Amino acid sequence: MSGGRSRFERISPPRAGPFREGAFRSPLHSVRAAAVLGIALGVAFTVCFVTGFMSHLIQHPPSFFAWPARPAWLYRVTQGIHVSTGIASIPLLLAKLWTVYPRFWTWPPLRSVPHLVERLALLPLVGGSLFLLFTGVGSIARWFPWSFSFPPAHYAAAWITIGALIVHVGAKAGATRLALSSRSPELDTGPVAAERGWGILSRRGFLGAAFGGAVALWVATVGQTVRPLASISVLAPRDPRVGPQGLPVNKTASSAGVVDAATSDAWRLTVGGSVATPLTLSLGDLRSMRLREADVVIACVDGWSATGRWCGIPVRDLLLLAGAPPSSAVRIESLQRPGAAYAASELDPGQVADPDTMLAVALNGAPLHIDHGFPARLIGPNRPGVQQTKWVSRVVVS
Amino acid sequence: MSGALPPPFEDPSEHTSRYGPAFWSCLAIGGGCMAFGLISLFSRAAATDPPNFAVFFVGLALIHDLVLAPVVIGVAWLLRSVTPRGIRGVLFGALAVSAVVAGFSIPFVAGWGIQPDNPSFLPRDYGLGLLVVLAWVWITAVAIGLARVWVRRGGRR
Repeated sequence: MSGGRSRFERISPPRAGPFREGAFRSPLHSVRAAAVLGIALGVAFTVCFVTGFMSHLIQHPPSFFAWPARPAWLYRVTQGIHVSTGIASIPLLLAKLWTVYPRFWTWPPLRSVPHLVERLALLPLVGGSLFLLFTGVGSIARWFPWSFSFPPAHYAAAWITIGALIVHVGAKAGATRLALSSRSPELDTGPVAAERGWGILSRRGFLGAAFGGAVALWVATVGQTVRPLASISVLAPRDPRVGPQGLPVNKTASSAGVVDAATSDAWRLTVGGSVATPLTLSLGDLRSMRLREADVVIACVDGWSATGRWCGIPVRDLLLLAGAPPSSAVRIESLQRPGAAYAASELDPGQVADPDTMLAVALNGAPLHIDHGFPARLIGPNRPGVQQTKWVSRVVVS
Repeated sequence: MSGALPPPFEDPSEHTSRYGPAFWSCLAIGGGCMAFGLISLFSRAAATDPPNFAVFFVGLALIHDLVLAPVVIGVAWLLRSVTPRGIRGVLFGALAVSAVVAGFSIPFVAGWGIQPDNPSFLPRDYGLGLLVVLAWVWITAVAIGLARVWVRRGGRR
């Protein structure tokens, strides 16, 4: 940049509209405000990316990855953090975009080739950030105004966005450090302009509103996973206290199309695959076995979670009964149409070995409600709710 | 200087961006992540529907930059014209937070995703919930405004 002006900078500026020199005079476009919000968003998006990627690995485990059954609370915490942090990011992102909005109209639009690269990375950063938060909110509200499948699209957008964020950090780390360490007034025009009466909000007031909005949305929704806050989280799409047998439901039996099969007297649970003694068990057979009771959390990918007292037969006991080694991997299949979303799930040997991984037949002291998976469902610690297969009909040992 | 225009917006970071080894290293790593995201997108095109994905990915950014931000500028300009200077900051802050909370709650209040056979989903009165949150936002704003008045009067004594 030393010497004469670059070829880009010799382009004559337009004189109209937002391109006009001095078009933006709000004090809120200060570099220091952008730096503070940028750091907050960088942390929030990194947290969301890590927790989201973890959830992806659990649901689509590569050969080298094994998700442990303990600690039992871990997935509840990581997915609760994923969703609540994403929600709290909304005001911060909008404030950040407002702060840097004049740069959208900056002239000359390009100063050098690296500047071009930096600016090109802004589209995936801005578009991706808005995409992730918009589709995330739509998903927890079960409102899908798009035609793509949410999980793979959200996953792809997350990688694109985090990549653009890394590029942005590379370009702006120095400027951010300068903005937060230097006392230079040119980095902080806010209070000066506000004092002159041109500002509506001071920088401090603006940041207070942004972070206050984040806190407001967080408190208004986080009770769907933090039970003590359930009564004040008035915008949470779930209440962990509300549902059949005091527990929320994600998919009902009627929407899964299993009501007739699940309530039929002909229902049997089969245990097959690599076993010495294939089993065919009625509900009465299951209930007459030595059952275990345990408090296990249902933690949904949508960010809500709730604890129930489940009663059922541990999967490892079922394997022993069928003459299979308790260190086997197991596939649990539902009455749902084969190939339907979440109609089956896998248990690795570590999860099978956990005594709280069981085929439950009762919840909170009563037989399972059909929407909770009657006649039998899988329940296990530290698993995403979509992998707690309901209306189980087959256990396949491998 | 009273009444003089403040300096127009100029982002000093424009002049402090450094395109040294750190930038190019981040570009390599970030570019790799973006490439992986695009491969994920197109390798599962039947599920991700890239054209529809692109509509939302680009469309949301355009809606923000060309619709939402200009509307906020207009509202701010209007507010600045019609409100006394002393309460502008608190008023605009409360309005901005209210708008974000209201925008977030739209799909819940409207119940667009409601599942008639699943009363455990959207079990609350979300219109009432929104009013409760807005009430807290404005109570907080009034409290901040009164605190400012109190501090200002205290300073004069």
